[in-house]
Amino acid sequence: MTTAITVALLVILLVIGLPVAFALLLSAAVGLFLIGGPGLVLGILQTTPSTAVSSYELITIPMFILMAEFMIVSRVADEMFELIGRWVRRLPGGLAIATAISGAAFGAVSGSSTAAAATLSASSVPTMIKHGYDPRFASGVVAISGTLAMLIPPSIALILYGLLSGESIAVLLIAGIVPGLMVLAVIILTVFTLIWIRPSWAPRMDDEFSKESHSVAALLFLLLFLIVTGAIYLGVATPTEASAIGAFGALLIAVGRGTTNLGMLRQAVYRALRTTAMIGAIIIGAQVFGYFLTITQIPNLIISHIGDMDVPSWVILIGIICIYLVLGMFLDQIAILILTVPIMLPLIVHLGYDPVWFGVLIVVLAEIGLVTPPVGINAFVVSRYTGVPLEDVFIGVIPHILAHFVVIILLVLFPALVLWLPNTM
Amino acid sequence: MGQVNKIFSSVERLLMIGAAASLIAIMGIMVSDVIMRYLFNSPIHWAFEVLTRYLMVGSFFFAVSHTLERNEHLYVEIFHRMMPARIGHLLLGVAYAFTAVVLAGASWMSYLVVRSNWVNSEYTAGGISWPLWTSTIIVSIGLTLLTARMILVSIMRIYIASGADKNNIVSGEFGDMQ
Repeated sequence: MTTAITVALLVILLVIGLPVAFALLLSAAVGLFLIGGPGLVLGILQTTPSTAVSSYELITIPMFILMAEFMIVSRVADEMFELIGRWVRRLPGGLAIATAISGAAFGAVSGSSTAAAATLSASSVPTMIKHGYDPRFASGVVAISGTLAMLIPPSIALILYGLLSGESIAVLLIAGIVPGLMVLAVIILTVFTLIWIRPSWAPRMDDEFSKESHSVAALLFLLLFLIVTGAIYLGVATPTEASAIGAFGALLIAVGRGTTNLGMLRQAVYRALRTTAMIGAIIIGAQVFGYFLTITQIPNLIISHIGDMDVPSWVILIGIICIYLVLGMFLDQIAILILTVPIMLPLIVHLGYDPVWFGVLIVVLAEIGLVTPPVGINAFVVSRYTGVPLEDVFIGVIPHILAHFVVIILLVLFPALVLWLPNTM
Repeated sequence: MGQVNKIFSSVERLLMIGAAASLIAIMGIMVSDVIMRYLFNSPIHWAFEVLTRYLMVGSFFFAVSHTLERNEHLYVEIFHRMMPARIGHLLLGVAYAFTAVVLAGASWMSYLVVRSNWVNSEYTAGGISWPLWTSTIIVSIGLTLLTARMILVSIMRIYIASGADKNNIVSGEFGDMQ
């Protein structure tokens, strides 16, 4: 009964729009109060806020966010789009392909899908539409390309999964590389297919990109990516140290290129702080809720209940995938991770699946959630930044969602696609 | 209400400077630690303690109230938008009030921890030996300000729900025109 009341309260609080962090905190406090009275609640509240935030691994999140913010103000990402566009302009749908590769490249230094979608929207959609691209096609490519940031390291989603699951953050970050490249390949193949069906959606370009050289930007960008990811892969630095080095490198790039001023840097730091506070508050709420789950033994009950069912594990896995796809339509990806991982992960391990593989899988599923109605935050961002109507963005992204299912099927059938690279560390 | 909000905002802006300094310091210390370890084989022995006990705690707890003021905590928007505006504000106002009660409990407990650290003259263990209350007081300040901000947001939401905010002055104050 207590469990039902607490879960129902959590759902109600989320529905009325209370921030996820406080919805978790309040519902867990009510649940704990019903179980053990005020002493239990206050005992947990005494230690959880400080211990949750004083985690060394948690530093990775603000540092990578700071790195992304510095990269945005340095405008290196915009120049990367120009440069990649020049390389692939002769290919059919060259600008769309440039957008996809830029999405992967921007993901390599940001880890934030929303930031990637916003930056790509500002830099690539106007250029594509100017060259006669169909607005639905153009905005669809941008919306889906932005999601690559969730997989290509450094991925905030995978770091958060690592913090929630206790799995190695370094292993998770490296595990995201191959699936990230697979998603990139699928986006490019989808672009080719769409243009093959409707050549008018992406006419060949007559004029050229600006002759301005962006090779310095590309070099700096590549260098930063190699230092951060290489340091994690080789074990030279922990992900936490690599994130700080990345942020420092991005600061040097932003200052060294002279494209920014003190006010812009201050705003970048403040934005990073607010995102950090948002994520940190959710982690505190989730930890308090975690105590409630532990005391009530909900995950164990679910596991034993499902274990009693006479169905193969792959059927349960398909059910779990469907749950994530539905949740992705309504909830933010961070919220989904926080709310589901404490329950789903023990179940997945019980079924015999690898937790690192599962982390990457649910991030790919979350990518779909970022572009599916009604919530699809990336679609909102693209629509807001480009002026393309929201429904057109959603229509434009449908072929990419269908193509994403191919990646999901491959990852489910061949877990080695995820686990091979981290196993070489 | 506007005056109270302005005072709160001033305090929050002041703390944001501290949070920003903490965040930049995290970056600087970690990079220095890596350089010292690899180039001079001499890592900074106090880095871990300062990073986790002070700087990470400072960059979060000094920014969390300001983030609430800016309405930048993550929330599920879709259902809230479907509700009539005044009902939405009323429900949120009530929910914030109850959350404030929980946070007040957390603030009170954090104060007791600071007092205990002070009275018992407790010191940090590890690379440095500083009075423990200098770390735990950061949590206490952050939680207390967050509680106060949440009470204010709750009152503002209920005020808007009552229909008294005819010129959208209060709803404009916390930047949430939903």
